[in-house]
Amino acid sequence: METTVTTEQSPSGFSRRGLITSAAAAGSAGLLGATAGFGLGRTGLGSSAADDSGGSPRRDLDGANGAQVEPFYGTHQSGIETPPQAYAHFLAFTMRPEITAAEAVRWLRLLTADAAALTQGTAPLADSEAELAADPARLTVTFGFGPGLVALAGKEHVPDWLKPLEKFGIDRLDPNRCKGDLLLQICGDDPLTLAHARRMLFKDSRSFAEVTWQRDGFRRAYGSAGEGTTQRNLFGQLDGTANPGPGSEDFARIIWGAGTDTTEPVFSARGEPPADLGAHLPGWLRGGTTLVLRDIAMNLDTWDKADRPAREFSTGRTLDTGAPLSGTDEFDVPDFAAVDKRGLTKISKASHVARARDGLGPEVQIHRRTFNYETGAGEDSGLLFASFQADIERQFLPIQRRLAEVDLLNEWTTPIGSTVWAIPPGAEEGGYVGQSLFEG
Amino acid sequence: MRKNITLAMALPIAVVIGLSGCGQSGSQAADSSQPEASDSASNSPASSQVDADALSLDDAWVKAAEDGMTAVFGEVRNNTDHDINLIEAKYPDAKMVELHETSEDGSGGMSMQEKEGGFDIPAGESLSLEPGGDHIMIMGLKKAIRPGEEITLDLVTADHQSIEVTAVAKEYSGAEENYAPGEAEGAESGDDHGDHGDHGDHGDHGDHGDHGDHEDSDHGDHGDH
Repeated sequence: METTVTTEQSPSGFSRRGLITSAAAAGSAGLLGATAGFGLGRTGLGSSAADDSGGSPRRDLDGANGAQVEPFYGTHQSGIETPPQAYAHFLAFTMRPEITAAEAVRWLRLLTADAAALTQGTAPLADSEAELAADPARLTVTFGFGPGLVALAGKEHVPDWLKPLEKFGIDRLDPNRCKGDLLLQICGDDPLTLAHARRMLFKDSRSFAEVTWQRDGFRRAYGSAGEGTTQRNLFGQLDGTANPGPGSEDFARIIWGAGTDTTEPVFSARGEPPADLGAHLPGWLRGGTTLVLRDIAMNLDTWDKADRPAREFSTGRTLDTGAPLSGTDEFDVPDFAAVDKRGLTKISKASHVARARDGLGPEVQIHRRTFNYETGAGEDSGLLFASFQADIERQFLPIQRRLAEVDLLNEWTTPIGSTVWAIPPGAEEGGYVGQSLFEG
Repeated sequence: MRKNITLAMALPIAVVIGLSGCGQSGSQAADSSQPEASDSASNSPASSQVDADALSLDDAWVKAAEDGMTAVFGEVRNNTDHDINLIEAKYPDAKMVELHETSEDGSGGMSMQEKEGGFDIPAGESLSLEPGGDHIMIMGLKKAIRPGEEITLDLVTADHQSIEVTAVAKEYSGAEENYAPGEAEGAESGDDHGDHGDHGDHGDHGDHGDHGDHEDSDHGDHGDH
């Protein structure tokens, strides 16, 4: 079986990955029109300075990334559609019990002002280490609201889904990692800048709240691999292959919950996602989305015992290219009907990719923005699985339920933390994150 | 010169969902969530306002404090073409406000004292008020200034112009007024909490002049105001 990958020009000018499949694959329903939305922005795959020049790799000596900024104000918060930075701090607060709505608003105003300044490389007011605010290196601060914070504005504003997920048999949750009223997802390409930002945001929070839990995560350093390259987790697997590309119509529908009407729909591998996934969101969340954050421990010691064929069998993908076992390229659409010479399906029905995808409709898609963690040699390792989607019930839970039932990867992974967050829309200049909730 | 080109083109198209839904979620919390307005500006007496653009306090903040002393910082900007002499600041919810300068005490610490003659801000220039430097000193708080609140002060110039400015309160551990290394704060005692809410008399700053005797003492020990 042959699969050829080509690049084609779309009407909107994007270069995107198309699929010309072999006769065998073309026979499978659902593959037609499977121009990969998730291929957007991945045009740099495999390229490097060395490729361009033909010489040996060069170091970037310009410090060019230090000055890079991501927007803060806008329709949506940054840190979601933003191409993932190298580092992330997840910082969850529990409010002091006596806090009032007015105080929460003061807190959000302070944090908004801090984040607006820090992300643009400017020291916020009362920053005693103002020099550390320079070189933002794509710093973003993304706010997530838990039910307690939303309820301060009125219990009627708390959506049904803003609560802990249902219990799954695979969970071994630490209750201390399953709560919080406010989440700050602080991401950036420079760990020093990030540390300062966290410190500043913490200092402006401690009279309102206490830190409930925090986790640090990392991906490839800036410059190590081309942007859009799928990251690897600590099992060595490519992680996030099926993500919709930033800026795509798919992304708008899957994460922001509404079509843009400005770009032509790009059908992702599972078909065209519906444009109404955000219809259920309350008014104050328009322009926002939802986040399920799962802290998934990964047992590297037992993973060590699994040899490559077992690892690939359990995932349904190869480790080197990430291609489904039915294909040859990372972005090939898995063909769950493909059989080998013995007549067995090439992708096990119990494999991770089959459980996560096979038979699920085009609405069952998420955007995973994951970060690895390792707290030390022989200590905790895992994945901070940040999953953004407009509708947890329609998009996230169908996948999670199936993976909890059967997934060969469960042998090595254990969810130990789980939180659900409402991600409010971005702030307008002069306003604050959450204004649509408290003043809507 | 490489791969991000596609992305850069893609991003601007990313979505204009519009915030039209935001205003539709009912009347709910508006009342309870907006006492900010009353916290800040409402109780400042209307004074003889002049051209508010002549002098401004940009990036203004005040160190949050439950009681006792605190200080205001920011960038005092003279937007006129003539020099301005700032001689006084007024804050109704405190017993006393002074313009302070800071100098090294020769032993690694800093000491502050009232700035003789106030602050001179040359035409078109600005003066930084910052921890460890010049600042507006507030003493004898009658009311807590809590993080995130905005306070309103009046800056008074030598030619009797009064400019209203606001400052947001930030939690801040420095600016202790007593910078001698190794000494703890100790400014907790002193000011009575009894008159919270009773600041009807804040128009009266008449006792400013006769406080010249305190600045050579240690501001950390502020119990005797």
